[in-house]
Amino acid sequence: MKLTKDNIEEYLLLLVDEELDPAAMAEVERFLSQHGEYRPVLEAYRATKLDSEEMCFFPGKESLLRPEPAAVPLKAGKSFRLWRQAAALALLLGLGLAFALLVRRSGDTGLPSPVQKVAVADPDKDPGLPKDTTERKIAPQPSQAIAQQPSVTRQPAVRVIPQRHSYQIPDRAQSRKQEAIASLATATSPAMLPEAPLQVGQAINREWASTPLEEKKALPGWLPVKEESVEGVGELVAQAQELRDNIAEKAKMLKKASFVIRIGDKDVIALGR
Amino acid sequence: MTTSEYNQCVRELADGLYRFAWKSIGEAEEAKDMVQQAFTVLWEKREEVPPDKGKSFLFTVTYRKCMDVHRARGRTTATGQLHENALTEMPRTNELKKILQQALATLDQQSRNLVLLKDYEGYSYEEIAKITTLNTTQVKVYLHRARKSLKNYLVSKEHVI
Repeated sequence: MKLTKDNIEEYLLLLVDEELDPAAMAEVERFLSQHGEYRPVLEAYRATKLDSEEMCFFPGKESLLRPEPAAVPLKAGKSFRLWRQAAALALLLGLGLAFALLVRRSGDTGLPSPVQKVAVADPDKDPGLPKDTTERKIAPQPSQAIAQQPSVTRQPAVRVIPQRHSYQIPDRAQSRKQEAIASLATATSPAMLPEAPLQVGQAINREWASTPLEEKKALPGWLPVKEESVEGVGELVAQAQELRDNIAEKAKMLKKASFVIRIGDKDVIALGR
Repeated sequence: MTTSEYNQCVRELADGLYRFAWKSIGEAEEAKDMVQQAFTVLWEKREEVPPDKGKSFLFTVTYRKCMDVHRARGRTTATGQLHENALTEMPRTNELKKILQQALATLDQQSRNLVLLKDYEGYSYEEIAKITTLNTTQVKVYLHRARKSLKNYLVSKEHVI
């Protein structure tokens, strides 16, 4: 680009119209610095520029706007309502079925809820006991009770043995033939509790085994285990293991709780630690 | 172009379009009708117009309508009178603006529209060429001619700036 006095006016117009690149603009400025007589010409051209800031406000702009489709909620048509009702029905049925299964499972295991009554000595029979210990909403912890009361074997009447006093044999199990379960005791010894702390279990075993059966029966809170008939040793063992596992699992949930299960003249201690 | 984008065009471009039409034909009511018609056309063609082309589409429609109005009035119409009316309605910030508006009124319709598109809307020569269906060289020549005419008007003995 060579600027001369013949073409400078064209470049001045391009400069006013902002159509020059930075290099060309610098060239024009350099020419103007050398030929000052053209600067008033540039100013005159700049004066022809309309003020772009000059505003005119269109009246009634709102009338030009078109209604925008709003986020219309899904219209509940007939078919949609039917589907919705069907889904609600299915959900209710599912919840009912799940609840029924849970209740049935709970009935099978016969496990008490975490909030349960704790079998305690009857204060009326033993005036030495305080009367405010008839019901507690805590998890039973017989192992602690036993550990804290070393004289329990000498005074069995005050020993507190948490037992599942509301245990119910499921109806379907009751229909089985009655049979002695003495052999079950052999099959379900404390050694079958792999997770039970050995020392505590053995201590409780020794202590509890030394107590005569008649004294045990005389303990408050003692509930005799109902007998049920099973066929074959394998089924007997399986049922005992299931019972043990269920109680141990429940004892775990109750934290630091243990249960004493009497089967025949044998006692099985399920620890929940 | 969606309805939302169309409404965005209305909010952003209606004032500028109205200013262009008013300055071009000098009649506020006619300019208002022209803007409404331009947006009506845009609405009808919204499916074909991309959102980023909305502004050039509107100015193209308005420019053509301005030229149609000019042709209908005849080239002998006293544009000076038209802009005199416009000047009485426009705010006058200083004397130079008044003289410049008078100078603008002396231009032919096409040159005036080019100056309006260039100065008010900041379009480049190439963009103005697309709107006016002229080529870039024509736009450049017409604009330079218009500038010289305006400059000569401003620096004349009666309107020394």
